[in-house]
Amino acid sequence: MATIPTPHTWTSLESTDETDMNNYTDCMNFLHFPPGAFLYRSTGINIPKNSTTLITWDQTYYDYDTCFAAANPSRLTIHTTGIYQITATATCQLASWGVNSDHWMGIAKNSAGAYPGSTNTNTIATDAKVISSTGTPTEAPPTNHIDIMTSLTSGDYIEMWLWYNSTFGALQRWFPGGVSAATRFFLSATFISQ
Amino acid sequence: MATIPTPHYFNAGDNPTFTDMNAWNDHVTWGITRKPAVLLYHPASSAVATTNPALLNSWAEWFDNDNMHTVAPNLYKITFQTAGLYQISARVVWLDQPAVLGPNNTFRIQVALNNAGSSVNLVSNTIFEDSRMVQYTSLNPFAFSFGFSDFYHATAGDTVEMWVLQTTGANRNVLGGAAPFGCTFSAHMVSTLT
Repeated sequence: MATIPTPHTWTSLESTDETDMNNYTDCMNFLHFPPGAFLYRSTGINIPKNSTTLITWDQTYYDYDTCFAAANPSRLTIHTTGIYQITATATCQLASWGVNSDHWMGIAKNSAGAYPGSTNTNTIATDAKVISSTGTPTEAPPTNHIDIMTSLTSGDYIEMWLWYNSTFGALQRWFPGGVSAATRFFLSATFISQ
Repeated sequence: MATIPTPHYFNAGDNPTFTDMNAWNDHVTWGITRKPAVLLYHPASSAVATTNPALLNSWAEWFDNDNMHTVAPNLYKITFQTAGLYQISARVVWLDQPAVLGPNNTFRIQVALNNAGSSVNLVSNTIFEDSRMVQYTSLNPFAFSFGFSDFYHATAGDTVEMWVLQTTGANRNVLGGAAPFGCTFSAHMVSTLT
């Protein structure tokens, strides 16, 4: 858990010492490296049609608060209570999807690996796109994206769920990443304020 | 309005006083714990008529550390009390989806600036908008939802408000309820840039 640093309060004629001055270093380090993490996958993932799928992660772009643990690879766990900005992106690889192709993403909090439903209070945000195409677009892979601010307590964890349907195919592959593997399929949380 | 603390600037030969040092304390702790932030949620579901943009006007506070959201009749808006660069996030969840939708049914979010709740348009008072044109032939199991996040350089006194639009031909409800799920509207200071 990150300790939110508190600088020493000075009194008249007080002399400085290294502990007091290093408090400022702690403060600046906290500002430069706020608690949070950025998780992504090193490989794509096939998602069965009409099946809510819990996403697991195997890489961290950064992790300033031990938010990721391989023992629970679907979770981004908060260890410092505060207000966080959460961003999530998932880009689908299949370029031909037909009428009524729905791509859905949900971010759930503390749902213990169970899909809580889009109107359940464990679901903190959802994103859905319904796409119709009878051709084969090559430059428009459907992408779901979530960007929200929320308040999280130490011990809370968030997870990503994906679901799709399509008149094409039983599996749909989701990109592991674009130019950088960490750009097109990720889950992140960044501490904003206490 | 939050007072952004200014640290003492030391010159050669200065002997730091405890006042100077405590000004540094204010400076660093403000950056960690007191940057302005507000997160609003819609405590009740709300009917939105087809075709005409609707102002979401009954926001409740999840948190607000700079008096950016006040009591009726001003529940519809966020008022920036402290100038700076802000990240603004808006998200809507639609209920009551019809079994068949389209063609050309549009769902939209607009964030309007300094609009005082007047009619919104895409030309003169909208600073951000996101639209989805949807068509499908069978009902999907998830509430249709989307949102976005963007940056705005706000002056003290600027206001933002959130409008939604749907063109399905019948009333649709937007999801409300206890934070953090359902419709949300938030802003937090990223930088003191003025």
